[in-house]
Amino acid sequence: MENRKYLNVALPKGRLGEKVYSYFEREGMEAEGIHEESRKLVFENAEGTLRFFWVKPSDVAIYVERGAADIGVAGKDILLEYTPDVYELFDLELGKCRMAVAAKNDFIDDRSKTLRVATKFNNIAGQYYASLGRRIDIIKLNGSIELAPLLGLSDVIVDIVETGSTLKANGLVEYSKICDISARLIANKASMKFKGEQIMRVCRAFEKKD
Amino acid sequence: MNKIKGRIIDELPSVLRSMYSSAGYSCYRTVGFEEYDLFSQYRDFLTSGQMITFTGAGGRLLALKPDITMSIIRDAAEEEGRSDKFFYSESVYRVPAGGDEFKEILQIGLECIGDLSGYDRAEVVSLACKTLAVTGREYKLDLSHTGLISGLFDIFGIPADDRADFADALKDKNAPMIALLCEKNGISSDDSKKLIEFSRFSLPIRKAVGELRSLGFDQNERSAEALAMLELIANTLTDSEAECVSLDFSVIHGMNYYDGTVFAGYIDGVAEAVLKGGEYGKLMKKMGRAGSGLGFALYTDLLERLDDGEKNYAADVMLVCGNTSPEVIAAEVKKIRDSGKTVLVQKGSAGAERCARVITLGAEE
Repeated sequence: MENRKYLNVALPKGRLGEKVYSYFEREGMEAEGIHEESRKLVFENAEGTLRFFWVKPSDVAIYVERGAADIGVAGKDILLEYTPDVYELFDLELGKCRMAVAAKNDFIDDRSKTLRVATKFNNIAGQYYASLGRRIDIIKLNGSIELAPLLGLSDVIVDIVETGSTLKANGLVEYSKICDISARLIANKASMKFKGEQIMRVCRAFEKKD
Repeated sequence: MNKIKGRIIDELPSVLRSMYSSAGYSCYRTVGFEEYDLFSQYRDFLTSGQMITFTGAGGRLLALKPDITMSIIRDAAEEEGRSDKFFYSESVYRVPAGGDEFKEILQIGLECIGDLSGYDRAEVVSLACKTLAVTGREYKLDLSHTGLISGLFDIFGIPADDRADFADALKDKNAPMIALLCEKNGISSDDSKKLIEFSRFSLPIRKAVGELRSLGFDQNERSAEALAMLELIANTLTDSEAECVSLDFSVIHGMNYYDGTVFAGYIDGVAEAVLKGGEYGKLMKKMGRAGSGLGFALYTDLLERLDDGEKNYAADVMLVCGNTSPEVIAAEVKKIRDSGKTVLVQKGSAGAERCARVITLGAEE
């Protein structure tokens, strides 16, 4: 089978994916032409044992869960939100940030009312407030989440916070932290059975990355 | 052993029926629906707790079967020294894991229920291997034991309240989560690393048993019993089967229902486990039944794509007959069939791509 030859690696487009790829390069697992400007999406190494492809960060887990990729790098936020059935092998400690609740500076939580929560992360927000026994109304947005409390669309937002500067620039403050987020090395469960040695070689290389 | 030569999804049921019958398993047939109560009390035993329900003519709440195991448990005899062995090939109706809509799924599996011997248990694992092998693809069966997991937790002093979280982390080989849980429970960094290594442990079964003994697993009562059972199974399997069976701590099914050997099977080319099984003595007890039960199910819906890449023609030959007389057509059809090919006859050549070859009567080939 063609796919058996390769270890297929889904990398997230952007800075995180490039940083992860640099670890592969350092271990002598580089692919030809990956740094060249082109429209190519799939890159193979000279030995024909590794195949990299760049995908939208939020799609990495789907590629891995469905077996199109054997391993990949996905943010913990995506893993918590979509709960793909994959092995979560290693915390790369890259792209560190946190999932947090933020609100306007003058926000006071009124427990007598349903809390309106704007977020891209319905499941994470839902589970967090369920654990607090808080009644909420989730407003699913796809971007510019910070706008929601400013325009009265929501009371709070649940979103990723890195430095907090975007919140500050919009008159918002971090109200509570839900969890820490970082990039994780994930693997397809069936691939671990048939390409386990190759996958663990990559995992061990990442473990000694520093 | 029979191996499938044609389309896997078409031939699998009959090949497996014959294999299971040869091991003394009888065919179990069900009606398509049962009392809702049979399933609702144990809904977390099911892949998905959701069921298609409806009210029967007598006003009783019924459910289209989401699973076969519970019906078989209910119907099995309870007699000392007796084990009932059934196989089934039936449609079940449920929302697949990760899915968002009900599907009708052809599930093939078997159950061995009653006063089980060590051989009964080993035979089920061996039949699981044979089931995977008939696809003709490379296969792997990951095997574990609930006693081994409990022993592991005992050895590392995991508190009872956190065992479910540790089990979830082991199931996903989730090293960051194991490290976090160890930190939370004051487990040393050395032990945390060892637990992470156990989450990655995967060795052929015969080698694994010896390895775990050397690591002290036979010092703990529960894991020692589990190792003895796994050794019995390993020694009963053929050499080629034993090579494909690995001990892997990530095989964890519902701890409330399973209390023995648990396993999951993979076929090269399918992205998830196609077969799952285990010993469900705790479920038997909850259902008020004596003895134990062990079985597995093969999820045939996951095998559909194994034949991708092979053209699935309606017939080998399309015979375009035009206005040719029926007698001439019949003679031509017989000739083609006698040569071992399948033939589809139609008046014109529309849709000819459905067949590997087209023969037009009265025209040069």
